Amino acid sequence: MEPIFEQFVRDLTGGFQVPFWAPMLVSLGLVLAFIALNAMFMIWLERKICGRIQRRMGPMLTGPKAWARFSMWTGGWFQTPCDSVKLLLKEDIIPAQVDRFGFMLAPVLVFMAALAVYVPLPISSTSYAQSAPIVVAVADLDIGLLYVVAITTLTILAILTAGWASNNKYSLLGGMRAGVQILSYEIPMLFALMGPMVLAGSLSLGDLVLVQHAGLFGVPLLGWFLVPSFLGAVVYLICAVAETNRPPFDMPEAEQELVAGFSTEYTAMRFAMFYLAEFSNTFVVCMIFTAVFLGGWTLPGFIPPSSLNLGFFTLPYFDLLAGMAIFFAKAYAVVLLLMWIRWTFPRLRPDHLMTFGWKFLLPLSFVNLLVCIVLAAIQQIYFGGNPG
Amino acid sequence: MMRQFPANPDLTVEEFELNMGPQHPSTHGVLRLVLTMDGERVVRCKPVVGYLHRSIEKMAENRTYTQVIPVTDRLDYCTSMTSNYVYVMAVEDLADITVPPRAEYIRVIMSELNRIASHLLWYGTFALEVGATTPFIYGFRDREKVLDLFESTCGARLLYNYLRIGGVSRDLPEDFCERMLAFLDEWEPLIREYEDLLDENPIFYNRTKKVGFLSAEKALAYGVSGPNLRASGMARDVRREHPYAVYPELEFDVPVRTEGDVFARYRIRMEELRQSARILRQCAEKLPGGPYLEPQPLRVVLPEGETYVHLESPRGDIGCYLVSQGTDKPYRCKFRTPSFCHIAVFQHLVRDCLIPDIMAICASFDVVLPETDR
Repeated sequence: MEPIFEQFVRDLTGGFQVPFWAPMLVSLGLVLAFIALNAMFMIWLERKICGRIQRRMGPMLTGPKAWARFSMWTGGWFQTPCDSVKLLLKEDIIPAQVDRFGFMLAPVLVFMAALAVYVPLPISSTSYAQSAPIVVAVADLDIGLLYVVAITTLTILAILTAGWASNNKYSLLGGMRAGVQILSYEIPMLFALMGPMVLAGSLSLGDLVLVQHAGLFGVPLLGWFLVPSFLGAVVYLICAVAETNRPPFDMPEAEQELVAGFSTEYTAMRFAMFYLAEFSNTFVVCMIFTAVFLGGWTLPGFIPPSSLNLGFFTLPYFDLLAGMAIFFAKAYAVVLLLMWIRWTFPRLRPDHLMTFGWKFLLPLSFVNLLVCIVLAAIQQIYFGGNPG
Repeated sequence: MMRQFPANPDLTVEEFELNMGPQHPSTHGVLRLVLTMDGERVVRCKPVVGYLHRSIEKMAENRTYTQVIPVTDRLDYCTSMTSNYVYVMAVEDLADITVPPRAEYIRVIMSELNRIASHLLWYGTFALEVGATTPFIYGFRDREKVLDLFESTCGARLLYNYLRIGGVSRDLPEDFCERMLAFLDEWEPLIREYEDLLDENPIFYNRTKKVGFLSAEKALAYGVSGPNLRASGMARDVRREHPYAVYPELEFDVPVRTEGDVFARYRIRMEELRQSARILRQCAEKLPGGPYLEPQPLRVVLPEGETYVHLESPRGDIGCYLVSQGTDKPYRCKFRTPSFCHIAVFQHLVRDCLIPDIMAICASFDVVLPETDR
């Protein structure tokens, strides 16, 4: 992010050197805006998809009437902004018997984790005005994958805090369920991600994408880790759904059982924070899946030019924009898959979930790791070096 | 009860009480369950009923025989027709009134349509309790069409007040049979769709198979009836064992399963949907002409005596015990409702289950609270 931003400002202002903190602040603002806007769109999309699956139209009454008349996909655009305003204006209630510190800390903590996880996610790359192609991320950390897994686990602390501090038996049960669930799904998830790690020989998400683009055994299409590490992709996706508490793994907030689980006592903006974080985490999971298994911002055999000459105007950073478009298209394809799962499956029972996680997913992720090691060894011996 | 943690004697594990309901998203109305829990495991369950008590039986004693009919609507709002039916049947039995054949057929049509509506509602809510949202909408979508048929017949969609002493309040609309058959043609293939949404799903299968097992002996001991009893291997159906109305002339099967678990209760109801459709088709074919009501005086005065009649409601064996002292008001009007028995046996089934199982088991019994409390 930093070199691109500095270059961008220099081009724009004619040589202004930005202070060192500026890129960080700008990234923070961009990520915050992205979380809010993207969550709004995702909630709208979720309701429309849900409506489509259930033979209804979803929200149709908010927004321009003329659009709503056109089709169900153009109606109800203002639904989530209206809902957000409603949540902002609601009374913020802190029940008398709660542990005030924990109660107030939990939503902040959960949102903090949701925010921090965006740091190493690579959304594109550019070689415009750069000596070498640069990965576009807030910071392409060398241990990006490990960082992402570590930060998403923070959510469990927030949920446990919320469940404990709420002084409500349903909240407590919900919090405990979330704790158990995330703990036992973290492990197969990490092992599922170790396959791509071995294949790429790197923990940096940017490197992972570049390796995938280079291809396996010299074949570009084989490069997407979805192919060599297919089991890993399946395990990761299941674990990721479980970790974001989305149905069918929504035991911590199972409405029919625990009312609203850990968020039972929360109202207004505090509740909205949980909600926002949940949607943000869902999208993050899809972004990680895209970066690790679906080749990120690349398409096999396609390298966009760094600038596009439109005749009257040269569009700079074209590769950056094209990469972002590809990346988000892929991420949203995964989002649609998750929504499809959500609205068609019944909820699991907590003990079945544990059995499934420990006795099925964990061995499966080991098998995946083994396959990946063998493939990486073949690559190393016959094709030289890591696939990249 | 406190017990010590085996690995570390300093730690103790304590049971706690969880008060589920009367306001809870999934206790079907206002059932209250006082649960003693050991973590997620249920140690004891004590259902507390009575939050919906409206003294329907006492109200009936202060109304004339005709005026009681709308009160019976409120017995079980999901199947008002059968609640109407059992009451008027008791009055007719005591007064020795013969119902015209057309009225008998109309009553059977209405009961079976109501069975479909009730089972569809059950299907939706049951799926919702196990966490699947979509079947709920599917069930309600098709229930609407049944309600449309009711609306065109008696003007109401929920509380019908349609049956009268001696017949029904008005004749079927002219095109009723065509519309009903059109509905059946369109709807019967959709039963397959309902099953597709749940049957083969391993999550659903694991959550319902071998959960909430009810043995036939226990079921009989607690007076369980209807689909719940048939799921435990007893082929008991009032329509078959003590036939009333025109049921002897109709062909239908009584689906039975022997597993006695949640899944069996679900399968039984799905089969019953098909059987109801079969009965309706025969009724549409055989529906005779003639009067739909044997007119009665506004104030029906019954001879002294008492009677007990029962019939098969979607929930099970619903009965009405009626005592007359020769006046125009019942001396005693007692309803025997299936849901009451189901709640009684329910508490024994959830022992040692997990919280999600409570929901699955409770929903599988198709308990309707207004009927329990009366």
